[in-house]
Amino acid sequence: MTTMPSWLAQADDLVAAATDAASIQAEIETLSVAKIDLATHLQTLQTLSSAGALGGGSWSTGTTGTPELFDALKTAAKNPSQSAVGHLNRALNSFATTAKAQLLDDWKRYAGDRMGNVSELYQLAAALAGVDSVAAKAATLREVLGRLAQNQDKLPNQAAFDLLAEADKHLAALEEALQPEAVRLFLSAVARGGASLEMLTGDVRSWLKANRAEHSFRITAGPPADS
Amino acid sequence: MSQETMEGFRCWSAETVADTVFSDIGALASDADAIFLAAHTPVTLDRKKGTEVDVAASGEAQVLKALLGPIGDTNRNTLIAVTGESGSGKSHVVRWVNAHVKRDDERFRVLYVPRAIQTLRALLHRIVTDLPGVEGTDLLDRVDAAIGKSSPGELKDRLVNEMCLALNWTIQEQPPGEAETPDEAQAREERNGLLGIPDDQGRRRDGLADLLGEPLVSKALLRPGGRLDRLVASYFDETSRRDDSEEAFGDEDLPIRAPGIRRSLAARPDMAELWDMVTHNPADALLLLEDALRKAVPATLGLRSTSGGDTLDGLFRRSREILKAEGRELVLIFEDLTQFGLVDGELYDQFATAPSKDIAPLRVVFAVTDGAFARMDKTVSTRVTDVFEVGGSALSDPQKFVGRYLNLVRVGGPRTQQLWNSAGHDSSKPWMQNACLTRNEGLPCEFLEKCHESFGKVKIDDLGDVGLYPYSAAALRRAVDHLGHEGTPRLVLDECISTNLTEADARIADGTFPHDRIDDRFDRRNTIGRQVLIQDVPNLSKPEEDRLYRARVIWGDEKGLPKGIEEAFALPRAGTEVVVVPPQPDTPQPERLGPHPLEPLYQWERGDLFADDEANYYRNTLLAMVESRLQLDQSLVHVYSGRGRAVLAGLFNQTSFFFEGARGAGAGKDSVRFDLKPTPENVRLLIAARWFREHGHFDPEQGNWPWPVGRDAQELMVELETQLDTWAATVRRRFLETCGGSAVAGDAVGLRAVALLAVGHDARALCSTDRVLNCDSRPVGSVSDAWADVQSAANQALGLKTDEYVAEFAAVRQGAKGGPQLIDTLELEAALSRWLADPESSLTRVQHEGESGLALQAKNLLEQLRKCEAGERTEIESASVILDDNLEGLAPSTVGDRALQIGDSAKNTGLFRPADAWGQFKRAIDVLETHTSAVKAPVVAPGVAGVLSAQHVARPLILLSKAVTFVVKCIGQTGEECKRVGGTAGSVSELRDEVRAQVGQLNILVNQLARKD
Repeated sequence: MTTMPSWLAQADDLVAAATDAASIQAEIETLSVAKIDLATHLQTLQTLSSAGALGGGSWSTGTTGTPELFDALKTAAKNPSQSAVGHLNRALNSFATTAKAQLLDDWKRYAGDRMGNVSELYQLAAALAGVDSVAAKAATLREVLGRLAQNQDKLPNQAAFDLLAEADKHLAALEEALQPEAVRLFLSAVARGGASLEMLTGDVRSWLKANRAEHSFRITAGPPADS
Repeated sequence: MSQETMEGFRCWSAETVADTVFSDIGALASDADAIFLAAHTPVTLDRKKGTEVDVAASGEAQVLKALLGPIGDTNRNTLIAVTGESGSGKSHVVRWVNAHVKRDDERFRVLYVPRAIQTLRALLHRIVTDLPGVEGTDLLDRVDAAIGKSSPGELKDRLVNEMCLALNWTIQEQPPGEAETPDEAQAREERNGLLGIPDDQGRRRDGLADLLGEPLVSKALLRPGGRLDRLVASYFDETSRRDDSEEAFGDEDLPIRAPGIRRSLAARPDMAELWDMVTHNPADALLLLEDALRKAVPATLGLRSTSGGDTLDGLFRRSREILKAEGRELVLIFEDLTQFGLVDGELYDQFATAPSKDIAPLRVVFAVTDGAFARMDKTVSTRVTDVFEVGGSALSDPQKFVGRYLNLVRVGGPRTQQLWNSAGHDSSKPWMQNACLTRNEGLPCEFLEKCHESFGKVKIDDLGDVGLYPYSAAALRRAVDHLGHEGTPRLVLDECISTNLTEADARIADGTFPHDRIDDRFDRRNTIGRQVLIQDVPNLSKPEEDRLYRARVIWGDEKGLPKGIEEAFALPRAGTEVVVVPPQPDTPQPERLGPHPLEPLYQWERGDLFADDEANYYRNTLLAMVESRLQLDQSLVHVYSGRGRAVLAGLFNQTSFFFEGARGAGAGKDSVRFDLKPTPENVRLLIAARWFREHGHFDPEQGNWPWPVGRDAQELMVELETQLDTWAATVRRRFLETCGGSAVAGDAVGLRAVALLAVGHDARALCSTDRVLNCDSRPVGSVSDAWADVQSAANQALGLKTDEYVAEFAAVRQGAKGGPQLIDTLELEAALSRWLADPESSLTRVQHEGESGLALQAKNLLEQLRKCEAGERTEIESASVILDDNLEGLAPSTVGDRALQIGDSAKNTGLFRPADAWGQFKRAIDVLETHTSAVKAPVVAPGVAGVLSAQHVARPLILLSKAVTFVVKCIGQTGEECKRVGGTAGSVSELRDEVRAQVGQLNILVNQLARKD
């Protein structure tokens, strides 16, 4: 004996079938959203990775993911359910932020190591722009240092690395042009963080006075840069 | 002629009556003094004005003295008014005076105008021809020309024109009078205002005259039957007139209520205002019109010459001048001053003209009604020297008044004239014969002794004993009493002499007196019933019985008739002596007894109209007596209140007793009606009813009023009891036929049972009266749309208080308060069975034959049942089909459970449809859940009864079918939704792989970004 009328049995089948279909549809919707989110993470990490590899990559210290990130990656790789993907998303967001910050720090540190304080160097170049013998070189340096300063807070790219090399070259050329030697040593030290009083020799003072640059320098307390 | 007995004897004839009796003095020839004086009854006059000169003189003699006494006084006129009501005899007084004014007296000349002169032409002719010393043919010619050469219509037009002239020019405004009261001043000003405002030519404008020019006004004034029409007609016709037909303009002579007057006067504000005054107070305008007519008539009729010819005033003046020259005076005797009507102005002018050295004095006596005298022009009334008012003295002794005429008609006109002539026209000595003593060639009547003994006689001065035949003293009294307060001498003559004697002549001759017309002319009040009064003369024909009864009441005053009366009228007799059952009505009654209340009943028996109060008294009495015998409580019917009372009141009430000859409608065909004719049997019955109602017993010695003469108490009691029982049986039978008695209660119970079925109750629960009465009347379950009107009608029927019907029509009442105590359920159960077996027939029957309250509800319910039966049957059948198709033999609860599971699944995945109908779906499931076993379709029998009986099971069935239908609908729509969403699901595995690949790449990148140390 049947337990339900035919019209009800037919509906029962339809409902059952429709209930399954709905479940699949929900998974599709979850995976679709996850696919979009993960694609975004992929692009971000790819950018960070490319930036870290510039200049041979030695200037970059790198960022190691947390265990949770790796667990999430593992879980999602196994079953990219809505919850697993959601967990992974949150872990990747955190990792990407950390990795980017680290990369920016590494870049600033690397540029400073090669050029000194770009801002102070920019001031020195401005001061030497009035010294006839090095005015042109100082002006060129100053122009390059200005562009270099604009990329200090961004992830480095190949152009940033090229600009750093060009500034380094023009600084060297400027130092070469300074005579006598004491002046060259003094100004090089100033350019790289400060010269000691000992380096303020008579020749130096005379040169500064002769080139009317004695008012472009100051004495501050503290050890010189190379000390 | 001489005869043995008085049978058929008459001492007068219709001819002698016609020759000698003139109730209206106007009809008596002016030279008929003999006839007049022979029957004249001296009148006592009340002297209202003037000096009494001869206390001993009779009334008429005082007038004569007042008229002739001043003869010789050349300084003043004498005006004597004899006043009184119409028919009081004032003209007779004047006529008497005229008869006693000697024409051969050289001191004066007499102009006598009798009432016999009834037209204006004759009046003028009498004045012109009898006025001493003048001819006046010119005046008569002008009047003849005015009337003879004009049509009535033309004469009316001329009158209106003359009235306009009078209003515009002649009639003067009234000046303020001395000591005028504010009301009089206002009346005068209003009158003057009606005349209008004089223009620079002196003609009045915007007054009543201009109003007469309005077509609607003149049309009303000239209308047929109006004042002017009647006046003109009197000039052309020999129309008789009486002093009580005084003419004057009335409201109907102005179009006061006719529409259109104001509209036609709209352009003339002053005229419109005048019309408002007229309509507000027409009396002033009508009096002014009368004044104008008074001016217009002489002018129209040529009484006033414009070329120096005779005028009435001129003739009088000339006559007085001539008489003055002769040393004589002018005596004017007018039997009715109002004869002069609209030409009295000229006469009044003479009254106001005092005697002088050229003008002879006037000695005038005239009769005038009280009303006319009061309205008389003050210029005349103030000059009246003596006023005598006639009272009712002529009738102070009706026997003498009538006796003179009886003698006159016996003597006859020619003999009377002969006697008057023999007496030398001298009334100072007795000159008239007594017919009773002289009718046989100077010898007494052969029946004198018997006649006077039987009919009675009256002693009259100068005549002696005059027989009253054909009256008796009682008959004459009843004849005069019948006239009541209106009985003036003229009326007494008309009725008691002219009419009665004329008819009696022929009726006595052929032995049919007193005939039926006597009933209308005599007071027939009696205190003894008809049958009692004539019971000593049995086996009479109806006419003979009527004659005998009539004679014994009227001539015998309900006593035995003297032999002479029976003989003269040829009445049937019982034997040698008439014996009337004692006691006689005039037997002194004990003082404790009140007045006899049966007179109206006897009058009704005689054929008079039954007085309203009396008829209602007997109706109420019989009604109460019959009601007390209905004993409907034996049929378990309570008729003292409630529906039983209402039914009985409609069936049996005051109108059920219909008295022939009484006012008031009789009961209609739906009520019991007992016709009561004024038969002796019914009179006995009503006497008995009245006696018993007012005394509570049939003891003649213990009554508050005299026991009716000749009635036997036992017989009356038995007759009353028998008749009341008969009537009560009739009423009881009709009552039970009409309302059915206890069947009403059965019908009430049956109707309630059917109504309960109609609202869904189970017939099995309505198996007894008790169950039906105590069943909660609220509907069971929900009603279908098709059956809603039936339920409404059933609810109304259930509003009837069935228990009251049972209490009033099927309960035994006992106890101190008479409340219903026991119910006879046997008949009620049987009725209930019949109702439930065939409700349609029962409803049909009650609709037509039942108590009104039940009938109304039965009709209503039956109408709705018949109207809704087919629809409800279809509804039930459809429900059965739905359930059969959708439940497929399963219990509804089983189907409901499964449907709920499926619906719930669908709802969880958002697939339930309609999406907002989940609550309704659940309620429908609840309905299914209440049916735990498989449903069987009910078998609905044919007809109203089938649907009615199936109602109890049909209601849940229909509700279930609706629930199932809704569930099926929801499940169906949900399935459709499932089908729709099923095709949209794509491949998930590919997507899943892609995500996994991304995760792998991310893993690589994370590793690439790891610290390098």
